[in-house]
Amino acid sequence: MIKFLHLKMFVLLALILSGVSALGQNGKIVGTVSDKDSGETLPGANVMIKGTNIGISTDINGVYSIDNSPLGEVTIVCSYVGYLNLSKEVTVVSGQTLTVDFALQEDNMMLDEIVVIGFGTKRKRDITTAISKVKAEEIEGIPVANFAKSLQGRAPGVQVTSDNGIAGGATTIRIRGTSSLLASSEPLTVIDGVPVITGSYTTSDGFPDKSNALSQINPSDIASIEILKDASSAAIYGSRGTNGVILITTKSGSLRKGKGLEKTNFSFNYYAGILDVTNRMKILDGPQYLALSQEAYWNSVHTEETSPLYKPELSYDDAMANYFKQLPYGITEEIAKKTNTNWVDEALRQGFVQEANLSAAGGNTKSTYYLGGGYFEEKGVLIDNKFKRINGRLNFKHNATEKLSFGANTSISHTIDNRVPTGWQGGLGTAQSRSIPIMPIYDSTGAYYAAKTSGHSNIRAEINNLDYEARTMAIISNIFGQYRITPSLSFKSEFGFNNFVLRESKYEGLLTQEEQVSTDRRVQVDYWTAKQNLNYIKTFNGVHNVTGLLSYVIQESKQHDVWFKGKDFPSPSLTNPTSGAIRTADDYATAFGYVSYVGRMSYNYAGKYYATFSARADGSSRFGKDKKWGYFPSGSLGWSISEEEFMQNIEFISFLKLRISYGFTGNSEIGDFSYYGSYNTNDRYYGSAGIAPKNVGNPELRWEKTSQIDIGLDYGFFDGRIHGGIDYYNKLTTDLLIEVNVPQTSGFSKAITNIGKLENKGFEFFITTYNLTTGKVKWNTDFNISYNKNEITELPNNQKISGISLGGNYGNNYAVVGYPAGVWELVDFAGVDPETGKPLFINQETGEATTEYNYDRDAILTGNPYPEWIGGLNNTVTFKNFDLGILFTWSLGHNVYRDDGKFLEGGKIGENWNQMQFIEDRWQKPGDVTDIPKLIFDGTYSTYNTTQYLDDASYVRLKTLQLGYTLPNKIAQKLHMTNVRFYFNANNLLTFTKFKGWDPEVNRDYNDNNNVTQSVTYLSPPQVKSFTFGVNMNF
Amino acid sequence: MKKISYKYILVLLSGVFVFASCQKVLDPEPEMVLSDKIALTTTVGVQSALMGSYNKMQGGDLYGGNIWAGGEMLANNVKKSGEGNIVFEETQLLEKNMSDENRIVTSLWSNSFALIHLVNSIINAVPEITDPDIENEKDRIIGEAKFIRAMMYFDMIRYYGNPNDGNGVPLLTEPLTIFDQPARATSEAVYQQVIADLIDAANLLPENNFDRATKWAAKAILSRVYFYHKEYQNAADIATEVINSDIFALVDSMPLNYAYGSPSEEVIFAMMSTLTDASCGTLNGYFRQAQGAKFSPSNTLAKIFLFSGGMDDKRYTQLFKIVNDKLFCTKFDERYMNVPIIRLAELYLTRGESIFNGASVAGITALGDINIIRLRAGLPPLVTLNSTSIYYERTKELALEGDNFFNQKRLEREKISDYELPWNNRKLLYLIPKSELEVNPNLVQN
Repeated sequence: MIKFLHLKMFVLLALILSGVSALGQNGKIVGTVSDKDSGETLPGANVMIKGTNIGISTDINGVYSIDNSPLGEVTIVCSYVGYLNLSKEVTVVSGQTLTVDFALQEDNMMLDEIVVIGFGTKRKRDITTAISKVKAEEIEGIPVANFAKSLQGRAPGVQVTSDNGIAGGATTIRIRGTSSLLASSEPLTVIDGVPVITGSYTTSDGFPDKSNALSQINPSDIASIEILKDASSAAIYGSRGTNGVILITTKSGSLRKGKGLEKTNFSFNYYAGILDVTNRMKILDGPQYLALSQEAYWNSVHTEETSPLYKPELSYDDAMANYFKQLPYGITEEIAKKTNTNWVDEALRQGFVQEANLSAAGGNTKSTYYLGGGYFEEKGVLIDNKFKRINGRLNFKHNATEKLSFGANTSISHTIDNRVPTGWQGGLGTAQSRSIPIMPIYDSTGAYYAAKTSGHSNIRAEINNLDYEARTMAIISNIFGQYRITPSLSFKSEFGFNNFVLRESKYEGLLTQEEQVSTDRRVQVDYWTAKQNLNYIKTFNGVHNVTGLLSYVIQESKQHDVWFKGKDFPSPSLTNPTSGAIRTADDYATAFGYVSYVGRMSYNYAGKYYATFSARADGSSRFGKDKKWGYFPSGSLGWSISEEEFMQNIEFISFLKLRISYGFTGNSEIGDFSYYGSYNTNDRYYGSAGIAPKNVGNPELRWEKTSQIDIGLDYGFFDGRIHGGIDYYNKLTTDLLIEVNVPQTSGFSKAITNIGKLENKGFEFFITTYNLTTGKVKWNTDFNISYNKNEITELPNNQKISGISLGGNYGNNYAVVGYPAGVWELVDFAGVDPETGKPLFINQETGEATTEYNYDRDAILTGNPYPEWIGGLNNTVTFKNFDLGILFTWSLGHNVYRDDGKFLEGGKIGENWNQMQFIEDRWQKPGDVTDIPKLIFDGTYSTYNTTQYLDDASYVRLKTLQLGYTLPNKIAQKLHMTNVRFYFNANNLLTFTKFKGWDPEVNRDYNDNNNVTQSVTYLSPPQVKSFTFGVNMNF
Repeated sequence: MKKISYKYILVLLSGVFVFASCQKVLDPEPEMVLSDKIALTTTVGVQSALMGSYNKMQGGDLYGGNIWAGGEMLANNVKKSGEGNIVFEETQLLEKNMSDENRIVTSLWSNSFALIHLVNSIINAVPEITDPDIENEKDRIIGEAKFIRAMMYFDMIRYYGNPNDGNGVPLLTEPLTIFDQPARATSEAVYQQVIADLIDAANLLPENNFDRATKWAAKAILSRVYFYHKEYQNAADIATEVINSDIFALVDSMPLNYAYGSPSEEVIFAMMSTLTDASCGTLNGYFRQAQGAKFSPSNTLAKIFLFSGGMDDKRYTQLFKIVNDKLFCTKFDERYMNVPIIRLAELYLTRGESIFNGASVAGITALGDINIIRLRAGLPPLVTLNSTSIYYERTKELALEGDNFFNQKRLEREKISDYELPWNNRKLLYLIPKSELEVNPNLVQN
């Protein structure tokens, strides 16, 4: 990628300079380019004669030959990606062949690397804001559908949570913490300059876990990902920048290295492997379940005075006769005693993943192109869950004249997603809860046992009865033209289009229900962006470097959905909704738009002192007439200390830059038309159209505003062999968009408004060290760690806002001043009374332990849903042709509330739910010391929200281990390849945690858009680990 | 070369003309909703809003479910069947420890006031409408709106009204804003409003109204309201008017009252269902065996049948069934069915008991009315009446139809069902939602 960019720059430079090309007699220069440390020759290095467009790349043996050098004193510049430029002055004499060899020094810091900054690019050394870059090489070969999952641990301050291990499942991305309560905290994603559709468009009806439109993007097409984190870098995205911005640059064509300028670079990658869950949660088997369930029943009958079952006069045998009578689904004593079904096994399988990508890239001085096609398939670990993607991309750029260029980056992708019920709606979620192990899969006739029970407890029947498929087609295209009006002023016009079409079909047959139901749902989202940019770049007197940008951007998105539903079909083979006896249709439409004016001005003095100021004015359709416009200024200053005279003697410091930035960003990611007072129009009754109030409306609704200060230091020591950066930031969000409760006597429950403040403070540190650079073994280390503290600093009347009132559906998460958003309110669990076996709670008035559960009196605010420390440690070792990469990631200092814990640890044993295996350590007789209370049958525990179920969800994971072997050049050449690499990759290999559920990396299902109900699990499916073998071939 | 360059500039600049659509981009009109500024300014608008009101009534939180089932849970007329999944909200009702955040409790409050707000808006909007269509529709629309308002207030008072301090619910006859913080009116004041609204509705409504509220529906509900307000003479008089109208008749086959399609002759007012818009979903979930009913009738209820007629009672054989050794009520066994809100049988029971309590209606005796109901159920007539036999008949006839819990409270029973709580115990009251108390300091909790 870097190579491509460098070459592009080179081409550009060559074009600009071509006017001064000298004519006349020529001399010849030959030589070899090699690595200074290892002595290895470098194919594909560029050798240029300064001040001309004469130049060539080295061939496969690192040899170059320039036949047409001007005579006399010339400067030859040798450059190669990843190495410092080296120039030599020589005198060329006509008729003589001059030999000039270059031994290049590796550039550890890559200060001249081009970084995409939003509406433009900059050299890394000139950056004065907080931007992280992740390169294609870092995420290559990781078997995930969604590129975001491979960002884990790669960039400081960027927390990526894979919500679960469902194929095609969603991610939660937080850049420098959660900065809103109600509005989305997901970053804006921009591909090749075009904001794209993200989020879940599939229905949650029956499938509570979300999908993500980001899975449309083929990670193999990505050349680099830049993440804008501070206000100064993100303010250029104005009202959409608060949550940070992910800028994706896709691969582009380049001139072919080596001989011949127009040869095509082919690349083929393939990997395949298996998937499995990261962890098996242990639940009771048949005999264990029966024993514990009977014990609970007997306890309630025999000793539990408050139980409705309490009948101390009853004999054990009579009690057990009653017990077997109350079993659900017609399970008899005989069936119960002989059955031992492992329902989790019935829901899980070994998964399979494979991906193939073929691309061709190339070009000449006029045009460059990248053409890529890919196929990805993940057969998930949940039975029937499958995600497939096929996509094609064409990136093309043409320089029509020296001044005019145009091109397009276009991708078309098609996915087929077979989702399955999960969580509280079925599948694995049911398998671990409502499907009890004493229920057989089949009855005596071989038919599915109790197939028609409500809640579909027989998940085999459910799985067989349900067909679901979501097919999507997405086009992401960016067409641009650029005209250089003067050498320093250019105009660029861009038109971006993202069209997303989804067709969902779902069919449920008669196996588990009385009616056949077929649903067909279509979604279409059309999202376009038009951008007109004026760019200025000029250097005055050799030291005053000025760049400027003016831009005008329009964005518009329209979404239309329709549903058709049919019930009761004349034949089971018919599943199209219109064949049904009963048909219904529904639709949905929404839209939003933005109009923005953007300006940015950068100045640097001789690469020492930097200043950048930017401003953006954003108009948004999401606010009322007088509140549409928001203004987002920002500025940053930088000082390259290492460029100062007085630093030149300090040998070991190779780079030192201090930077500071401050600015404002906004957030408007609330639903469309939230400000609009409205009546719903689908409140029909008995065949007549009906309307009813929907939204109370708030003409005063406005942007959520975030100010952020960032102070950073970039450093490099010992020729960059140690380098990195450190950042401190403080992000303050004001005018929080919140839905507040209003008196329901108004006819409304909630009104959306701007009140309150919250803060994210933290620091980020990263360091790269080249531990071994010479010799056979090379070893380098990347380490990053970031700390973030989220705190709500102001709410109206200091009120406590529950996640439920913000649109959540569950849990005990709250927004409270002085605590992180989503702190839990729970009763403090204090173990089990050894005398009675009752759970104990801390009475907050007396401080004593009590068996009385009194939420109003005793609930305390506790826990933190957001990790304090996240980071990654990556070691790369190469030895001869082998390479090994090992990435550890971690997430420390946060909790996950197991909302299912109160049901699965004795709570719903009386309601015929399976239970966690560790409840075998329950209290049984006076004197037992344990944390698991005496089992009872009446479900009292299932109403207790206590700290017992709040787990420390800190974890350290061996995230990625990749071992590669590159064929020796000689063999590769015999195969007509430039490069062949085989590798083995293991993802999510090992996890170290105290978490009691499936996997500590989890986010609950359901359509919760607020940021208060976070880090909760409720029968959520686990993560997956994968083992894959792959090959990369370049030819 | 130069010329060509300018051409290219023109091509590029044409992109600039995308600017033209700027204003439209910032002001998209929502397609799915109607602006609240225009929604109720036309006849068709208020008529649609009226349908929207019925739609809310039909919902599972109100007459499509919990207004019925809440009382039955509190009265322990139902128990967990072991088939469907009970949620903790239901457990709380069964165990009489409802919190102020229990969704069944809070949703009655929020849905009732949303509905009251809507009908108040309709009543307010009608006089302002200028299109000529309104003239013929005005009375009916206001009649229906008042009927709905009365029903909501009556049922709210039954759940939230505190018999110990007389506190009812906020009494609103105008649409309020989100800034208003009304206090609770007395239950008595609410009762007077309900009675006044129903009298108005009975005067304004036609006799036939497309299976929606009619003059007779208003009167039938008014009779129920008088009965619960212990105005027995008024209850008996109004009941007599409805019975004597000769429009309604008891049906022989009782399941007809719990069916789909045109209401039976006996049903005076029902929440209607279509195949695509059913009123019965929530009740199906509670009681319908084929759907894994959450509840089966409790022993309390079964015992009453056992003590007074047993298997000879058609109400038992036609409306109950035993599957897998468990008893289920089949009143809500139809996948698509209307939910009867009031039917003629109740008026006989109301009149009979009112007369028993001292009312007088020429030519009618309490025993006669009760025996009409017994006869239809296939039971021999009683010779004498006492309060227990009246209680048994009403309980059996209206079993699981949302009446019994309030009937026990009306009778001021010392123990509600087999639970050890007296009729006026605080634990039997719905609490004002916590969220409501937080935003309205003028409210006091039950």
